[in-house]
Amino acid sequence: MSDLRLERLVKRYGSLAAVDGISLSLGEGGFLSLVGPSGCGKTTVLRMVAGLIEPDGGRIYVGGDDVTDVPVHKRNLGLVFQSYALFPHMTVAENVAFGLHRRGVPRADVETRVAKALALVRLDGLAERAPRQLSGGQQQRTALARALVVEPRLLLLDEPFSNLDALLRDEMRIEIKRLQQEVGITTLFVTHDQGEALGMADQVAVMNRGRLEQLAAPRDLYRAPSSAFVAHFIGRANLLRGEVRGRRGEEVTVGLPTGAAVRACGEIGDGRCCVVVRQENVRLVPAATTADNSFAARIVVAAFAGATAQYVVRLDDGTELQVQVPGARADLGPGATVVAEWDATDASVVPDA
Amino acid sequence: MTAGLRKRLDRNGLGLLSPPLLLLLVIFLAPLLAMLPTSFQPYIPGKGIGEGFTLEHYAKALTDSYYLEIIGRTLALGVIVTLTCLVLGYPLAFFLARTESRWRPWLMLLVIFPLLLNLVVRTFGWIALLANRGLVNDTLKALGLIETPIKLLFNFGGLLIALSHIFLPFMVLVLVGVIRNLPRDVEDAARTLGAGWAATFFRVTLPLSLPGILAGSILVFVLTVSALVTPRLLGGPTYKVMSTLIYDQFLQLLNWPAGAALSFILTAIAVGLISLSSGMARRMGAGT
Amino acid sequence: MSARAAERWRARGLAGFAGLMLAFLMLPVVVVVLASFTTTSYLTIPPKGLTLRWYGQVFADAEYIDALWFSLVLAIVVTVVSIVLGTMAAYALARRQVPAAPAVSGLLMSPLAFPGVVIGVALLQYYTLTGLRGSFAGLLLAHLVITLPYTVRTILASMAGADPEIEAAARVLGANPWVAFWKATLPVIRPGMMAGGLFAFITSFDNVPVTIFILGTRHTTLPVKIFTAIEYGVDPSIAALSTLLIAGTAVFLVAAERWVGFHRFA
Repeated sequence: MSDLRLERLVKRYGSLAAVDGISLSLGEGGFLSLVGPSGCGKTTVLRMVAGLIEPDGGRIYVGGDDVTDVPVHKRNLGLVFQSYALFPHMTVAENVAFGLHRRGVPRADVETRVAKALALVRLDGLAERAPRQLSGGQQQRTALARALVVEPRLLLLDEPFSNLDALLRDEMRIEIKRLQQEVGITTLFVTHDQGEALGMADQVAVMNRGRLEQLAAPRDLYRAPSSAFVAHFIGRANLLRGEVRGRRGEEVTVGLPTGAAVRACGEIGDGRCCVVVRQENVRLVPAATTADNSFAARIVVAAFAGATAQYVVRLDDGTELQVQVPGARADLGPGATVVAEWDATDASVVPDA
Repeated sequence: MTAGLRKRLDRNGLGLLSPPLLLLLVIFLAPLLAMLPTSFQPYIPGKGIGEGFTLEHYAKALTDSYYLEIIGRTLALGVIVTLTCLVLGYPLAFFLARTESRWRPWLMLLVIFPLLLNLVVRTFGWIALLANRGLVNDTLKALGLIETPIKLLFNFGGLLIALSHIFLPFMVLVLVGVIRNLPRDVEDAARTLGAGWAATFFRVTLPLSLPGILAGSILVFVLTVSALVTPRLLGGPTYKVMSTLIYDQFLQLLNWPAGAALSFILTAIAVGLISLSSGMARRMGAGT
Repeated sequence: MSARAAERWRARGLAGFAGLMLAFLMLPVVVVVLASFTTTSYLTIPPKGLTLRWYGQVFADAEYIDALWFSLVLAIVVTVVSIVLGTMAAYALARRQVPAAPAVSGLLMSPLAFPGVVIGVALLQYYTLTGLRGSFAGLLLAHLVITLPYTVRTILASMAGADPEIEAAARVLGANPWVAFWKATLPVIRPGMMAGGLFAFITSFDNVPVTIFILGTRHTTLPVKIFTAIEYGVDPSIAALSTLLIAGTAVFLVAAERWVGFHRFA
């Protein structure tokens, strides 16, 4: 078990920089999610850490050792693939034993360690099965056991849930989180799903177009996104583009192109900016109150989803907002006129992308 | 034809299938079946096929030392050509399957080209290469390695070289298909688990390409033991394999019964091996 | 860095070996082309001198020209009929509930498993009995038997990529079954039909083991003609003729690659 540090990591494909100078560090026993839209370079980062892709620049340190030039098979990392990548011609036990054999572990020890690893992922009894005879969840547990049994310095998870159905996905998320805490292994987790990224990790790194947009704890990332991209990618917040008109302490007044003014909080200079309004921070009320921001609006779409309800409302100036309210209070239909309100403290200002 | 019948023939596809199936029944199965009784009839020198029933052609083919030598030679050629194609073809196929060169389609065409080129022409090329005054002997002489030409035509060595060349593309194309379909993640997984290139290749890549190796080997073996043109031209009238023996029995000696019996023995080898291997492939596919 | 260097050397070694094997594959081709230009009356490589005399001799030989036309006409007719029959069979196997479908497709493929010489001698006897020996029809039917596996297989493979729902959609939109097939399915399976047709053409145009037993006395095919010529003795005119076939095949292959991306079907 070790910490992980990336220094200005670069990978180019032709003229395109798939990874464009990523630096980050992850403490021992930490769990970091690397999240971003597909093609943002997150998987390339993970594969460079694993040694499967050779970086064009930058260094990779594991436990203080520079492993940039160490070949894959000498890095001693555990990697769980999106496809699980189980050896189809070997049984579950042989799959798990593979890494131990490569390390010259004596036969008797191999047996006990394989049995222990299988017990850890609750697969005891399936040791002699072939991978194709396993369910998706069992295959993933096998892949996890195979990665962990060699006691790797890092655990790397590459989109491990994308091949599971929704129910199994929730179950495996909790399972892996529990396992990671039990073993206490430093983990790098790559996903395109922001919910997964927030829920699993104690640190979230958001990537976009090969660059790191923001690295923060899940709560901070959600509450204080540093860019319009992060604000939209994490939680699909409403973004209102405009220009800073004035400032009083923490509070900023932003003029929208439609002429309306919005009050929000944030540290930002003058010029173009973006107001971030979370869907659940907008209140739909029958008549205007004393809120900092208050706009007459009309319901365009109403979609009830159980615990919550989703609305699309159109303000008088034509701007459309996504609004999420608790399902118990969803009694508005399309065409209804309402007032959309939010407090300045619930809206933040970020630079316009 | 009634409307009901027409509808049924359409739904079960037999309406569409009957022309091709009729063709195969009349021009393929019927001739083969018609040859079966011939193989059990006596041969009367000078007159041709006689009346009666005899097993002598089969018995002779499987006991007579002349025939046995030819059958043995054919099978040995099949095995050695197959192994040669496998050893030469696997690395080439591996390269073609994995290269990211933009020339890859054209390199593939270099493999396909000899396959499309007339077999007689390819064989003729080998005559030019292997003759006493051919390129191989001339080169060796010019290099001072030999003084008198080595005999490369009308013997096992020449046939082995030429047949390996002719069937190498089949092996390569089968293997390229299989190697390209190997899951790369699985090899990457082996490497992250501590396997160097040799362990990754011998423990993962090679075992996973076994179905392709089996398919390619069966194909090359069957093609080799069935080959007529190349053995005839490079072996001459004297150095015989089973198919050239059948050719002579039918066209030169006019001993159709013996030729028919040999044909069924050759067919049994080819078809038997193919059905055996498809059974094996099914079992491999069904898992451990 | 040494592990990476070793990896690079392994890759270079593999590429080198692959290059060597590709050269080996092309060796007889190059040799034939070179030999066709020699001024000597025997084969020699490298050629002594440079002459087109042997090409002139080939073009002046009426038997070669006749054999070439006969082979071409036969191969073209075989290709067209084989594509039609192959499409019928593949369509039925892919889209209809064929009883005993594995046996049917097994039968359609079986000429591939049988040695050519066995099919040839069986047809020799059968055609002698039925009077088909030496006829164009007999030759055509025999070539259809040995080309059908290729057309059925490639068209069946392209059929897998043609969604049956497209044809259903065309039917719903008012197309009759013929129009639906013609407009919805045919465009998708056309590459398979082309590739199958190319295989059929080559198989027919190249065939010796079956053809040689059922030819008549009036016409012969080009490969059988060359085959018998070599048995009598080789001279550079055969190299010249072979070179013409090599050039023709190369043009054919490049054109096929451009049209249908041939290497995907091989």
